[in-house]
Amino acid sequence: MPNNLLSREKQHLANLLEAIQRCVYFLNASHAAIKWPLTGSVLMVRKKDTDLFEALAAINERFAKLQDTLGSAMRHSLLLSGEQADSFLKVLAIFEKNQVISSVEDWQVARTARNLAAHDYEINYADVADHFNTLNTLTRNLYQTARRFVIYCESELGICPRTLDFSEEFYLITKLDLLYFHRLGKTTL
Amino acid sequence: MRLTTEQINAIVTTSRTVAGVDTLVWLYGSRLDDTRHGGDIDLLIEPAPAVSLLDRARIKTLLEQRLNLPVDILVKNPCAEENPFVSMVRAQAKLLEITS
Repeated sequence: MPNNLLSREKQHLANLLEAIQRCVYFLNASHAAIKWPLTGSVLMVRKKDTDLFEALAAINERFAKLQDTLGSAMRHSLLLSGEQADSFLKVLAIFEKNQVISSVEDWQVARTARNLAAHDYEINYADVADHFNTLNTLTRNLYQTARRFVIYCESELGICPRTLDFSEEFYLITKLDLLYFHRLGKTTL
Repeated sequence: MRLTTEQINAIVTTSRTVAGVDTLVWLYGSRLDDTRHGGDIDLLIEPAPAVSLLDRARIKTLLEQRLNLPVDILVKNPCAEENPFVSMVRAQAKLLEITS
């Protein structure tokens, strides 16, 4: 690839797309280690279970990483599509219009919920269970956003993840999730 | 108290829209001190019935959009045990009511 600015911008987006797929892969692995939904009484009984709480900590971190990486990639992709976005709100509005995110409000609520969860979970196990069950619900929506964004980048910008190392699992994980949504008869929260 | 009538009405209305009409909303922290400037809006919300984390996130998001100010919310659900921090907050908080 020629070493000019445009190529480097495209390369950066390709890296971010691979990072998104990688985040989904590892978030899904942490998610699979938990029996959902959580309850306060289960967490109380297992309060010294380091495997359980390490998986939960990983979910917190990986959920945040996926959302942040998606945000960075959406902002960066607009540079390449020639759209003007002077604020992140505008970035979100553009991707709502393109049907990549379900709505600006859903995105903002998910981000706030994640921050509340990160700050608040402590020794009230019913609250801890509520926090992680909420992240679990939001994760499904986030997977669909990731899937739609990766497809958008390929179809609209001709940019794919840097490697295909995580692609197969990424499409499988997000496809299974899509089937879950269809079973519920809805596409968002 | 450093909140306008419009801000108070927006806070109470938004909180009750998400959390129920019987929800109590208390203001605490630096916005009660008329000698200070700026700062977050700190709210203790007592919903009826209980609200989820997602509802708390909705309240915070909607309030920050409507007020264009940072908002911190503390929720005391009816079924939850009162913790010492909530007791301390309520002792110095002011109940917000809709006024015309």
